Amino acid sequence: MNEIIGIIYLFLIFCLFGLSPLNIFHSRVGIFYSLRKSNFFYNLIINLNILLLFSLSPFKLIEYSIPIIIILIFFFIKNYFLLFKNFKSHISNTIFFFLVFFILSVQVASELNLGWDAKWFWYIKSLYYSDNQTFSELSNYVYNDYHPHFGSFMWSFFREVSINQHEYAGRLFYVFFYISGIFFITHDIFKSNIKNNTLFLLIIFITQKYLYFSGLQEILIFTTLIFMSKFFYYFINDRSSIYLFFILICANLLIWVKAEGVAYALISLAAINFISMLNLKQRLLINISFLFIIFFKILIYKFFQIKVNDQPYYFEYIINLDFETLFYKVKNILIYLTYYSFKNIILMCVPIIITLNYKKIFQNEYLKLITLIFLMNIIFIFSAYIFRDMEVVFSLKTTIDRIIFSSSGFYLVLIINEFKNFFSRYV
Amino acid sequence: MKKFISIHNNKIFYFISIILLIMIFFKTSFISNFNNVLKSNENERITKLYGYCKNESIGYLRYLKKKYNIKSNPKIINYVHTPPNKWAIYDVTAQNTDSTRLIILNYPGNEINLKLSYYKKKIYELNDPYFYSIISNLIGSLQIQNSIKENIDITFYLKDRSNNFQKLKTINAKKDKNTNDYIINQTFDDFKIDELRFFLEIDGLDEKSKVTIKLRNKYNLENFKIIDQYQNCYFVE
Repeated sequence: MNEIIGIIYLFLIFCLFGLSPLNIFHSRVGIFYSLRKSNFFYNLIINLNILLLFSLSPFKLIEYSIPIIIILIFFFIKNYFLLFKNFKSHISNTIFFFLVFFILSVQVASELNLGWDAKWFWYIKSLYYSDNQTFSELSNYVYNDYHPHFGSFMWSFFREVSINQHEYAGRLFYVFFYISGIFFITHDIFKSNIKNNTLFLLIIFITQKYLYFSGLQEILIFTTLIFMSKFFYYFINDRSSIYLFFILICANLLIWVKAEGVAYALISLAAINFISMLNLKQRLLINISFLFIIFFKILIYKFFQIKVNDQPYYFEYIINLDFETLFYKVKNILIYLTYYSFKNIILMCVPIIITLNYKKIFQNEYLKLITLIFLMNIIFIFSAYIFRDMEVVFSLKTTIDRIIFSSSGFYLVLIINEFKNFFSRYV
Repeated sequence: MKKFISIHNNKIFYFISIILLIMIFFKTSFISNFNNVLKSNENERITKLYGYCKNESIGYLRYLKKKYNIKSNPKIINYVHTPPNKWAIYDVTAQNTDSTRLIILNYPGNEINLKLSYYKKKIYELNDPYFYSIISNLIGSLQIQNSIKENIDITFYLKDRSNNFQKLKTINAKKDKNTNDYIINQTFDDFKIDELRFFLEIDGLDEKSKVTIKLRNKYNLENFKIIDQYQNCYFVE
């Protein structure tokens, strides 16, 4: 029973990261006035970026984890105490959200199994923070090279603030973040709350797998890309620069979660530059800011003497690739990509939607953007395996399903919109 | 259709939502998970999942860590190829591996017997060669069912990254009259196996036969002092 109470307690702690303290900005300064109705998801992204800064600081986790929670509770009480009477309007959303979180969390607590890479290094990296080490000491860990730390940091942070401090407690945040991402893209599709909740449950039912919460970082990339794709959608519809800011801070999370996050961040940057409604000032700002966050990471890595990239990509290998090897690699990539695309319903839907709507590509800005992202993503997958100095079949067998899954976060909003268009003909 | 749905709109969606919730409930085996969390504590669940002295043997590792208050990171040798298991007892303050003590899990004895998989005519594959090249010193001998030949030629191959067979070496193996095994005595160090596939072509073996390869264990327990033992899991120095 102790562990069940622990799960409910963690849910409340996670909610704090969505509920406060953005209200300070929202109600007092008003700079986020143009955001769509719920602030919850924006808080979450901002607070995770704040946590990222703490993870790089020279302070030990124990010194700031509890103070952060206390500050969040303070703002929560201050900002929401008088608003509880309005809580009634959110009750069905909250019940569905909590039930899904509870079901998936109980599964994580029961199954416990960690993924291969989680056992290999992600969990060990989290132990550094749990054992009161800082980013500086973590940089001595041999597997810290080119495997960013932020996912592991969140694992230990939320483990630290949990009741039982069991290993899986930190992973429950991955569940919460994933559910928040799905909720974010489904909460305003229809006018009716119950329709949105039905869609939310449907997407959870289709996409959920225990493996994603086994300590692997793909779920964080997937969810962050979900957030980004929705911000793209809002930006195209509202043209408010604030969404560009959120795309930028999502990209910042991506590059600190996993090595390929840099590729997704660059794909997003390239795609943004193709948005025709972007004015020169916005274009300049977003490009400079993107470069800044990437250089900031490189600077931090250089300072702590961490290799920015230690993946098996060598210039010599690339220029010496012969036709026979190239053909063998391309053939296998095609086979495995096709096979795993059929297994991942999201990626399979994208070319179908693009083909069905090919006449609208140049009229519909969002469709154009996602088509570009899709093409760049496919190019990225091919180049990642062709230029990698590693046995290609082994590489494909062990990684391509995860690459397909994590990148499919880009497309869920497009699929939902298409579903809505189709659905609205009947309901 | 549209009219029907619009009349009963909310009720239908509440109904679908409940059905979906029930489906998620069953997809995740909620009842058995809930029961599991209520009935056994985290430690028991971990031992049940990873085994005490089998497979990853996390139960035994946790027991050792607690009993001997291990603050270093002793090398762990597991004779069952599983994902890495040092995470269960890893100490971040001890940067390097403790080379004085060893944890040996699922110890098979001095010899490791493995069945080779039939690949195609005369060619057999040793699965997981990289793992076995780490835990054994050399390929000792080969046992071929129903083979009466006194000598056979064995050629070793690796499949390179372009999927081509790369010939490594050919040896002539004589049959030992006592054991009926063909003696090879070939070290793995001569081959750079990495993550490539490893094959043996057995000359004169025209039909599919049952072939067992016998590897010599790199670690002999007689060379160590045993600190703790449970079944075939050992803590030695």
